[in-house]
Amino acid sequence: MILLTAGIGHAEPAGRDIMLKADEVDNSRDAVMSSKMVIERGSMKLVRSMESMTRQYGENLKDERTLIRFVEPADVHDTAYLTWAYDDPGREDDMWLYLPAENLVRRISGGGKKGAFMRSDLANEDIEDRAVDDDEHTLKGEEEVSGIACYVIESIPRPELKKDTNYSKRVQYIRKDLYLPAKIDFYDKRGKILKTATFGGYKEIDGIWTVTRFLYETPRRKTRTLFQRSNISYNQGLDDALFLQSNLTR
Amino acid sequence: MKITLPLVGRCTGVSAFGLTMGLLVLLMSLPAVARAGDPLPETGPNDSRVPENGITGDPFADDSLFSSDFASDSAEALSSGNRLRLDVHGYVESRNRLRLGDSKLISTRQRLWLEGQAGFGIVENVGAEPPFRVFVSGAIDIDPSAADLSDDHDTARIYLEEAFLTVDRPGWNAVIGRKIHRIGTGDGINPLDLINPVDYRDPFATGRSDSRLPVPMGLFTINLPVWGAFQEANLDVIVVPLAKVNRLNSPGSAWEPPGLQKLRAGHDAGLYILEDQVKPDQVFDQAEFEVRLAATLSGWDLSLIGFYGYLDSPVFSREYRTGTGGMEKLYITPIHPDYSAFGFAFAKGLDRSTLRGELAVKPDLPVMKNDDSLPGYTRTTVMEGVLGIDRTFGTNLYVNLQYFLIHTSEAENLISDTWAHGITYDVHDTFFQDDLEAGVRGIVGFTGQGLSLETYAEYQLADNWLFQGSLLFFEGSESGIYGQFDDNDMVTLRVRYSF
Repeated sequence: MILLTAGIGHAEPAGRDIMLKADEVDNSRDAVMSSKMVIERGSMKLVRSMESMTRQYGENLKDERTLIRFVEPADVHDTAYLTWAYDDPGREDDMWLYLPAENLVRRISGGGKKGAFMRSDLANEDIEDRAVDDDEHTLKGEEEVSGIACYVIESIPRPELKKDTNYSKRVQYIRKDLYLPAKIDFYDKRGKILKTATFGGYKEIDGIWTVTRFLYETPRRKTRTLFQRSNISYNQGLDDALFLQSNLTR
Repeated sequence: MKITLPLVGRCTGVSAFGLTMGLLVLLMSLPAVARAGDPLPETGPNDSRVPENGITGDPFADDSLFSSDFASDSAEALSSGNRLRLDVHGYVESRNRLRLGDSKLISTRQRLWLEGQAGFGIVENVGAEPPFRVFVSGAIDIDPSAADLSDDHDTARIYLEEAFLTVDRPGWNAVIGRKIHRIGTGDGINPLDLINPVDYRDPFATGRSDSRLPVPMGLFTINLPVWGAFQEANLDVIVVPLAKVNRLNSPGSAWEPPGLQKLRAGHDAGLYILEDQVKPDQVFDQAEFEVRLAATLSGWDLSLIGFYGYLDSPVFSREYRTGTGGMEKLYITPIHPDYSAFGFAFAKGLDRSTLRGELAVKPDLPVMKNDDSLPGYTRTTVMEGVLGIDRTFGTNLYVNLQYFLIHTSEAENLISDTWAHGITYDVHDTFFQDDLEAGVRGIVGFTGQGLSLETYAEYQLADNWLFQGSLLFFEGSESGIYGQFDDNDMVTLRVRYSF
């Protein structure tokens, strides 16, 4: 509906409209999946695997609760991470970390968003659900990626959020057929390209088109991270109790 | 993992130094698992592939990049239905501590740690854990250097650490068994974390935190209904059938306080009789209880806590008894009187910071007197508060500061001052693509407690190896809680392989 409205007066949709439509692709109420990351640093490979559950809340299902439980590597086995994220940009997300070695559930803050996620090429901010209006989106044109037509969207963080991100901008290539990302170029604060994410493994699961594989490459560091999601299922009616602090401990 | 068993076997009976060096040489001689900086494989995602899903333009459609490293995971873990799930993990570690003052190895601990968990029962909801779960952890420790110092340590020890059963039902869960259960939001000092005693063999986990021992307990948690701004509410009830308290270190231990050494010296000189520590020993009659009502309310974690139990650190009662020949003799006995505590704790995330605090009131807390009057201790009201904040600067520079304040009523004739205060701190950053973490942490008392200061660096190699080095310093007068270990400045080297 938003796209249609936007299309009445313009030959092409605006960048924000495209991103809103991309945001609507996953309209699930909840999701369960396993994820595995392989981080390649030369010939060294680091392997991380985790299980995650997400459930949407709020009037427009825009608030989100996520539980991630780490399986590998061995030294973080059973570490769990619970977030309650709010669509309202004025409201702080709630986050807790369960550290099994210390038998402790600990509230944490979003201060580490710019840090690497589990020593990978992904930053913590890359795995969080970023609200469409956290950035100003500009349609820069169309381009083929892997032989498929994509919208090219330049996304620049809102001024008040610039301090919380590693990036001066992201250039997102959004597939015109699926409204899923094909590629994202991340630019550092000096405006130079920092890393690139390439997406694929597109699957329709429970009626929802889903990216199941992606690759983050950081040429400067000569590293890359392969990420695969599996065992995905949507709308399973996940219990509220799964997303409580009391569910974090062993 | 298969290297661990022969390694432990070889360790028995060799010297501490040889043991340590042997382990390090063995660890380092294993094939290098990785060489950072090697060129990346020549695979790339640039080409469109034949679509498995009817979608063109999928750069990963042919599986060449996501191959053996991504063998299909079992879907069982997240499904519903009857399930049996088993996990075993652990590590093998060489941790060695050299006391700087006399260049003496005070610990050459070689450890094989194992922990396992099993879940079983019908999982009614997708994503939920099995309703019945068992967790067991234990270790084999070999520490000839510590065993040479005192009776606190055996040369080799096989022990059970935690072992508990969790019953997880809708709306409530129960944990029964031997467990460490930490309470509080503060860092380093938690006035209401009163259940588990300090590990007398290794009291300092870091320069800022202590180590605790598990105790047999029952922990019952009820999820309470929430409304309005309440987002989560729980009631925890903890019952420890027999209170467990801090054990006094044996003579010669690196952690035997100077005050205790002097008491023992007085006993040896015949000035008085220092009796054995009297610990709670009546099951149920000397039980401990803690109740915690916790809620999350508009981004605040709030909890009210009540405790009844036995003092972990002993007071020394003084009593004259008539002995043979009608002579009166002074008897000094380490005892653990009962007491109560009440308080609250909170935590709140603020942008890039987290605010944490605790306040505890301990009416009628047993406190030692500073003179020779009988019975050696008295009871008074003690209030303890902590308020701390942490913040991440830049990408990974983490700073954590916490102020603590203790007020002791009617302290004129007590060993405690009316006011005591200080800070705990932790500052660290990461380097080399987060493989290296380095920082400084500790506790500083402003009213005679002394200080602890630990500088440390830990390097993670690949997924399984951890190399850690630290320097831990204590400063202050020997009457201070940290200053009393002024002679224990030490360097620690640790190598760990996790599996």
